[in-house]
Amino acid sequence: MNPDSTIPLIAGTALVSVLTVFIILFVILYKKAQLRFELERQQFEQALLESEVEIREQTLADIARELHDNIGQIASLAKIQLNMLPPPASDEEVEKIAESKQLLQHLITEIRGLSNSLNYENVQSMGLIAMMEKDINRINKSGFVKVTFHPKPTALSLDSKISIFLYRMFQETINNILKHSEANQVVIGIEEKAQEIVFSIEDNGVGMPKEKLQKLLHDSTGNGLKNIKHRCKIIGASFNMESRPNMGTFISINLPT
Amino acid sequence: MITLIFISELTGKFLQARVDTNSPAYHVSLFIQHICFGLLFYYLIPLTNKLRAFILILGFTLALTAILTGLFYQGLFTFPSISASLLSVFVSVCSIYLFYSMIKSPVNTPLLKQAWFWFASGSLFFYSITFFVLGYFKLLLESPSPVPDWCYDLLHFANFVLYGCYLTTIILAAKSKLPTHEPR
Repeated sequence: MNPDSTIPLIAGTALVSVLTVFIILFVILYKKAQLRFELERQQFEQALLESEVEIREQTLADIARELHDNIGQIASLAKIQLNMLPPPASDEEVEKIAESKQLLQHLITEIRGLSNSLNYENVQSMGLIAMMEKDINRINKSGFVKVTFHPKPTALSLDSKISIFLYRMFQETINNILKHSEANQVVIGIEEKAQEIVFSIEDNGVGMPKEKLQKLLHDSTGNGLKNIKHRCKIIGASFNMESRPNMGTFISINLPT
Repeated sequence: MITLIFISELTGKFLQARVDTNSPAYHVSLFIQHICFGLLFYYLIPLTNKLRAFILILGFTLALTAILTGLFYQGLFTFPSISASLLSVFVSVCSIYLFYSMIKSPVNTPLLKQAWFWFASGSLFFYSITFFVLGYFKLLLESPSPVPDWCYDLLHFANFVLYGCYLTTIILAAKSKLPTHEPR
């Protein structure tokens, strides 16, 4: 090798090495930037989901207030006016008025029940278990389905936001069971374990084949299941759903404590 | 860029065979390369409108310089050309800025599947080596020593890297619609 070319050869090798190191360094830095970007994106998505839920809760609370203060009041007024009617002339009229009063009373109770279950402030003041019991009693009274609450903890140490989320998921699941399962028995359970709270719902309805379950879980266009999964994501809970044809459906939500 | 590379390579080979030098084609292709790279970086680098316009103007100015030096200062048969060195600096700096802008605004796609990563890598690799080799050629031409073989090997290697990277860019760009940066 010509001695004059030694230095340029070393310089050339150094240049190629520097360029290679530069590109490797860029790859590492870009990976870091990508991770940071992904984290920011997730935080943004989380904040967006939370505000979406907050808005929905606020809307439900407004509807609940409207039901209680306006429609409930009109129904009560109607009942008072019925009570103020002059004594009826015939037995038939007595019976009709009594029946109307009974219907109005039922309407007022339903409005109150609905208003209570829609308003998140009630979950905060009464607690999750009491609100769920109230709803279960209401469903049992309807006679369509028998709902059992087991295991049922006496008290749960949960953040009020998480309680509202769990309550909404419970409502959504019950709603789905009533609409689609054709079940006549439902077992709801909340179990507080060392590291997690397990919330489970099981029915004895028609269930569904594996393919339908997979489609429902991953490509569902309905809002109910999507909302439950959204809420689980926000509170960091895992969602599991199992079902077999004619063997009912089992749902569990595991919330780390 | 593909057409330009294809034409300049073919013309270079033709002239080499006929008149023993590819210099005229080399000078003319430099003029077009300055414009093409100016336009490419104008569309690729996310900068303010003024700075992007500056890159474009710089590309055109360097293209004009290539013509002027080729015709009036160095001549069409001189090698290495000043314009080639200027082009190397221009492309290397713009490529480094393209890398920087990629780090500033990352996307979810894996880096190795991003066309502009391969474009910037190939351009930086080839043009910084070219800048170094051209400087060394200049020194050698002023001295009696012959050009060593490793110099040609290095240029061949850099060419392979450049064409490999550009080919990957074209394949990846064909697969997906490439994002260009909107002016700020």
